[in-house]
Formats: sequence, structure tokens, C-alpha cells
Amino acid sequence: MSPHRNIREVMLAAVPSLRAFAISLCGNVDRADDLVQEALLRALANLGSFEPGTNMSAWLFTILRNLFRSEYRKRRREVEDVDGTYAEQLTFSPEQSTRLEINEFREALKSLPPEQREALILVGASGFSYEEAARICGCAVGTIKSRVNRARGRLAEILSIEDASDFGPDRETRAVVNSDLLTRRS
Amino acid sequence: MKPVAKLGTDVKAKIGQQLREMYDEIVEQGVPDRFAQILRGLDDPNDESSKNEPA
Repeated sequence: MSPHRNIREVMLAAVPSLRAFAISLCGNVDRADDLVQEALLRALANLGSFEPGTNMSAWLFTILRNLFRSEYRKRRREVEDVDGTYAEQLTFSPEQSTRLEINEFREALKSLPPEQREALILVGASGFSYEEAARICGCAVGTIKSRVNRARGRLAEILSIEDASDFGPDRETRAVVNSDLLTRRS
Repeated sequence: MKPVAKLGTDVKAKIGQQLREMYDEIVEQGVPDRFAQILRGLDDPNDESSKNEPA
């Protein structure tokens, strides 16, 4: 296997999670895919700065995260995207889960400040350690921890998730919450 | 800054579970062709076989 072929395999393997990170971050599939494309092109153009033997995934996530942040800053000056304009464009194919719960979660996630959102996703879904997440975001480990905590606290508030230990399994609570939401929506 | 209330472990677990469900849904879609094509550029451009290999 040529060295390039090898790098390609490693990058390919990182793409699904990189893309999930991008979509979770910006809440818009098209925009996220453009971000992924830009990140990959940038990575290819800068392969020389990748240190073999280090974590390719973390390297790609760092590139994408920085692209997202600089774009976010630019965008905020151009348009205020606070009222769910992008949420309306969220298109997921029908065979995918359209469970109300996940949609509610997605919306709640979007309402978090971006630095809390990225910290929570990196640690809670992408599988990075607090240390790795701190390197990706260019901040202290303690900062990541407090962002993750604040993100969880805010989500619990928005989604009315309460400590359910007194009420038995999670499922029951969720069923009640869901039926309540369904009633409100219909 | 507003102090963050201490969260129960099952609150954390539930948020973690929903987050991963949302995330994994996307991960399971695999690698869209546009990205596979970009990365194919890494191969030797003279190597025709690499253009036809299965994804």
C-alpha cells in the first residue's frame, strides 16, 4: 500500500464522524457538507503539516472546527440566524429516524452557544477525551469541562429532562414527555 | 456567571444517549461520494484501477 493510499484510507475512515460533527454543529446538511469538503481540501493541501502517527481524526476535526468558527463569525455579521431559518432546511431522508425526540434534541442543541455545542459533541458523541477536545478547540481542559457541563444543564432545562431515578426507567418519562409534545403539536 | 445546577447521572445519561443517537444516525450514512472522490485524488493519477474500485 502506497503511503498516500494509506493516508486516504485513514481520512476516509474519519469522514462519517467528521460529517456528523459538522451537521451537529451547524444544523444544516448542505452547509455542513460544504464545510467537510473545504476541510478535506485544506487537509490535502496541508498534508505536510500532519504528523504521521498522530490522530488523523483530531487533526481533521481541528481544521473543520476552525473553518466553522471563522465562517460563523463572518455570518453573524451578515445575517442573524436566530429564528430557525436553517432549522427549516433540515432535510433528513424518510428512512432515517424522524423521531420527535431527536428533532427536539437537534433544535435544543442549536440554541446553545457554539462553544458549548462543539464541546458537548466532541466529548459526548465524537468520542474524544476532554484533553483531545481541548486541543481541537484550542482551550484549557477545564474550559471544555465547564462548557460541557453548561451545555448539559441548558439542554436538560430546554428539554425538561429531570432526574428520573425516583420514577423508574427512562422510557416511561420519555413516553409521557413525547405524548405531551404530540398533543401540543397536533 | 450563573452557577450550573448539579445534574443527576441519569440526566447526563439521557442527554448523552440522545446526542449519540442523533450523531450516529449521520455516521451510519457513511461517506458520500463527493468526499470519496476528493480523497481519490490522493492516489496516483495514472492508476486507473483506483477509479473503479468499490467504495
